[in-house]
Amino acid sequence: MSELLDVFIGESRENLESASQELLAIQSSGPASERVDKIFRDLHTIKGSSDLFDIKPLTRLAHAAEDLLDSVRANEVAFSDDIGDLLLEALDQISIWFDELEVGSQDLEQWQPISVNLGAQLRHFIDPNGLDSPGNENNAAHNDLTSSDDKALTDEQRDMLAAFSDNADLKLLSQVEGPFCYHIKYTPDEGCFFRGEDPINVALALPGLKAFNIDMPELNHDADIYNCVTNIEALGCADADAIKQHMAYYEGQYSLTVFTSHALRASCVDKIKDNVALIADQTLSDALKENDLEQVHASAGLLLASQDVSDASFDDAKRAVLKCLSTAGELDFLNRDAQANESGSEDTHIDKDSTAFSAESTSTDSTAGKLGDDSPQEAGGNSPHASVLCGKTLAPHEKAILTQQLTLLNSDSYKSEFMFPSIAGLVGNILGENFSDEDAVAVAICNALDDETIKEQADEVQKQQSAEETSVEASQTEHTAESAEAVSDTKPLSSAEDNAQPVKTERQAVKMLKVDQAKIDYLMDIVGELTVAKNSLPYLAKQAEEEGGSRKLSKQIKAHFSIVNRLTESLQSAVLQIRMVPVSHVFQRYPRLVRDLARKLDKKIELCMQGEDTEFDKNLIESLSEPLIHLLRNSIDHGIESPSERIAAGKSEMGRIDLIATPLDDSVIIEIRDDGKGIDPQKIKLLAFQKGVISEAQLESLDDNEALQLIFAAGFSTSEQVSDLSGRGVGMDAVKTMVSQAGGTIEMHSEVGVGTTFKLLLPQTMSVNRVMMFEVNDQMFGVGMDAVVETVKVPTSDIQRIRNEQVLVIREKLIPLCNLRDALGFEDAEEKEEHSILVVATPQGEFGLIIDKFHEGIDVIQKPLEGVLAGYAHFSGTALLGDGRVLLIINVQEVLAQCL
Amino acid sequence: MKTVMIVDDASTVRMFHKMLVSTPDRIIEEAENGVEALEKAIGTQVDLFLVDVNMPKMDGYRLCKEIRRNDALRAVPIIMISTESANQDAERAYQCGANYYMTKPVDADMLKSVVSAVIGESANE
Amino acid sequence: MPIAFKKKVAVMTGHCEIEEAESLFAWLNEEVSRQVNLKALVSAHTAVYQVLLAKKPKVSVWPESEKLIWLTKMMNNKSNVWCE
Repeated sequence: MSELLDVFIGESRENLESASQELLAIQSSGPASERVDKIFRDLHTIKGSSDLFDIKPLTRLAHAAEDLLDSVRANEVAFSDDIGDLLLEALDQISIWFDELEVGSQDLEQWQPISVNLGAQLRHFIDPNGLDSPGNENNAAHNDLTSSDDKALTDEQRDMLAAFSDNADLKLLSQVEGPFCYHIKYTPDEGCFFRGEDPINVALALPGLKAFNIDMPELNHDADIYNCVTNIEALGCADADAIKQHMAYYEGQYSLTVFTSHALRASCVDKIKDNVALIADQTLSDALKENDLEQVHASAGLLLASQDVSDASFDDAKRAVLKCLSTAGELDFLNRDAQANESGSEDTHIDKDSTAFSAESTSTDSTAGKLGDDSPQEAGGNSPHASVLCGKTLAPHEKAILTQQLTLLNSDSYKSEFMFPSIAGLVGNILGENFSDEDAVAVAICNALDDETIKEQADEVQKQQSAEETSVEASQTEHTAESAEAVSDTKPLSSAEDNAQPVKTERQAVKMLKVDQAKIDYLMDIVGELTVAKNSLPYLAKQAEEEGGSRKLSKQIKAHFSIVNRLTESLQSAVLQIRMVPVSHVFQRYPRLVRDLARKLDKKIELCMQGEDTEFDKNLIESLSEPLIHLLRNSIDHGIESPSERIAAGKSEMGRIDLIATPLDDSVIIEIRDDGKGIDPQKIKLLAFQKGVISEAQLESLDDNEALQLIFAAGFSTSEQVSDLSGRGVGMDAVKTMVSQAGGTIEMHSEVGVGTTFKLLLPQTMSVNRVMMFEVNDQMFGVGMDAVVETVKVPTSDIQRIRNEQVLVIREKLIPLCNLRDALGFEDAEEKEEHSILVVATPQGEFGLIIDKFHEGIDVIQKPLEGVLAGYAHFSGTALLGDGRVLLIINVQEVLAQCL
Repeated sequence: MKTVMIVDDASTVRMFHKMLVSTPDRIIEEAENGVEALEKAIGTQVDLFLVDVNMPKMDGYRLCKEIRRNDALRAVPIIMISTESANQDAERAYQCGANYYMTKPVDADMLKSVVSAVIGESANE
Repeated sequence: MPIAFKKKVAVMTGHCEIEEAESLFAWLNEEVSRQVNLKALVSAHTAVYQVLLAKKPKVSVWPESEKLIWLTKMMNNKSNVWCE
């Protein structure tokens, strides 16, 4: 420790020397900003370093000088010779103190008034209107020092302690460590368990905890034990910063009062005296009167050791007083405070008092220093609980660090390329995992801050996920190889399953390559254009044959086309594979969701997931998350019965929800299956009727399956009582919309008493669309192939008119027609004998689009509308054709809505 | 063997921090300012920077930015230790690329625990 | 299994997680005379402490862990606990 002091003195002397020289230079040649800067820095260093030792007067003086220079630096105060002189005086004073420190003859009590005086003069230059009497400290110094508030505790603080327990003040005093004490009232929210908070263990780990009380109402038999009803009050020794840091996570749930140890001691003087009188031990009383510290220590210690624990007359208060006295650093406070109270001139006394106290704590450890003071306190405060926290849960500082990293990840200024590596490494060090992307880190932090079980689960998912990611990224290499092969081997566009197989086995060995998604998207765009360019080859072949008259050339072009075509397809599939992520990406959030909701509803539910490694396009998977949550909520809320209902129905108490992803060709089926009460079609029909969704006739005619599908009708909620978890009327129709927006379909099957299954059929990739091309008014348009039912050519005479609407009867089915020329704003065509009609399926049924001419189907990369076109709802997107023309893709629903 | 680099212009503070974070298993490097820190860090394996804010030549904020822009050092976590507790200083430190912010004089045990946690040595003592 | 439910006594071991709170609460509610054995209990989630402190069941064996002295005191109806 003395070594540190030596370094400090040595360094500070250099700082003083340099600062003095600069000051003298300024006085002779004017205040150059670099010079002021240098002095500021010197004083800043002295102040900062002195803070490590308990030499408050010096720190304070250096601080005052630093603040003044800061004002000069900022041009708030003009440098004058007066300022220069005063600063030199301050530097000299500090230098003198260093002399004393060096030989160990410092007397902080003497330093104090000098420091106060000089400090006030310095500060007077900063704020001439501030309190300028040297005896008073102005505000800045006020905050620095504990002594100024030392008078005694406020009445409120006294009441607070009294309310905590009888003689709480004495007991706290007898255990006091460090300059600050706190009282905290921690009232956790009812729902805090759901956020993974653990209030009692948080309170037990409070720094410098000395005493606490847990207040708890009675719990009725039907109480929800997952509501937190615990209220905690605690006393301890630590400063406000330490507590705030510890409680940073629980902002708004606690109220904190911090007071100084001196204030506490000052408030206890009377009680100490009373109890000494009650103890009535002659030796002790005499020793106190004579101010014989050693004797007081000895006799108080002896009394404490010899007292009979069972002796009722020896209550807590007396014991606390003896403990205080046996460890007291000095006894003057007993008398001095009395004097101070009588005379009313507390200020100087209190200042002295505090200095004396710090001096005394310094003297216990010859060279002083925060180190010696604080470490035992911290250790004492934390150690009983430390092991609890380290083993299973995170220690508070780890939580704080992790929380900060999460904040950094989420901050607006976050830049992945700069910050991700250090955050990932740091979090990895704490949690012992490796991360490849922000999401994984964020999820891991959230989970780590959560409670244990969840953490374990997440760990697993996490591992799986990172393995999965390996495969995603690996597939890049995989496919390069594959596409090379594809030249000789006419392998068709491979499905995900084919690809996943070899990748899986290599997972462990593959090296990861982290790629920005934007780059992949760019690659995707290029592939899209390549597809388009490739499509121009057949045109070329046709031209070669028709115009150039060379069948041979045409044939060669066609042969090349098939090669290019294959390569392009492989490339496309490879790029799409890179974008694939396993569904566990979204699935991993669900166990927590299910658990929380089930708990909230008092249900027991087990979530079984299958096929989490089924892969999906990243964008698709993200759009999927919300409808899946909705469906899960629905199953939890409306599907699974309460445990008692289940037992009554002869089922096991624990409900089960299966979440299954299965790849099927180019699609993926996601099933959400519950073994709940199922949906009663009759009930649905009745409700739908009541709500006016169906007519009375339909009430009769709808079969059970049709009735079930009514659940997808707008504004339908099956539970009579809408809960806050799902329902609210935006139920299934919203889900259906979201699913169809993602290009998928949804079906539902249900059997009363057995359960309900939702089946989502989704395309695995979203980027390549098969489009049917057709011509209207000499322009090319496209319509998604999946919407096309059939193409027919009918004589004009077959088109009938019913109430001004054109309709067509195909195989005894009435199909409303829409003339696309009208709908798209073209002029009517001249009368024709025959019409080409494209029959499309929509949720409202089949419709016929009257067009001019059919063309072939084509694979295109659909792009969203941009620029001026963006406002037209008629079109869902554009695609480039092989000959360079732009294909507009019709949004069938919109067009029909306008034309019918 | 983990290396911690302490960057502070005050040798007292450097020494104090060194006393706190030294263990037989750690190498402690010291630098007086940002420039020196960068010079020393490049070409060495550093596992953690403890960085002061106010320093001549190159202050802590600049140093953080430089570390984050440097391919070799980017992944090294940074703990900023400042005399100022004002929130905007912490805010600025985080914006510049610090991973954690503490105020001087640091709580001895807190610094020890934080350092252990950040460099991935078990905090269990 | 951190809580083993026997006929009359629930034996709590190690660290009891939040999930245990529900079954403990239900089990204690079934019969007033049921007891808890805390001998090997080391720590628990607040929800579990909450059940113990609110129900204050009879304790057959007090915790051996020093970290739980406070729990012993509180379950003995002492409102304030001072760390020594």
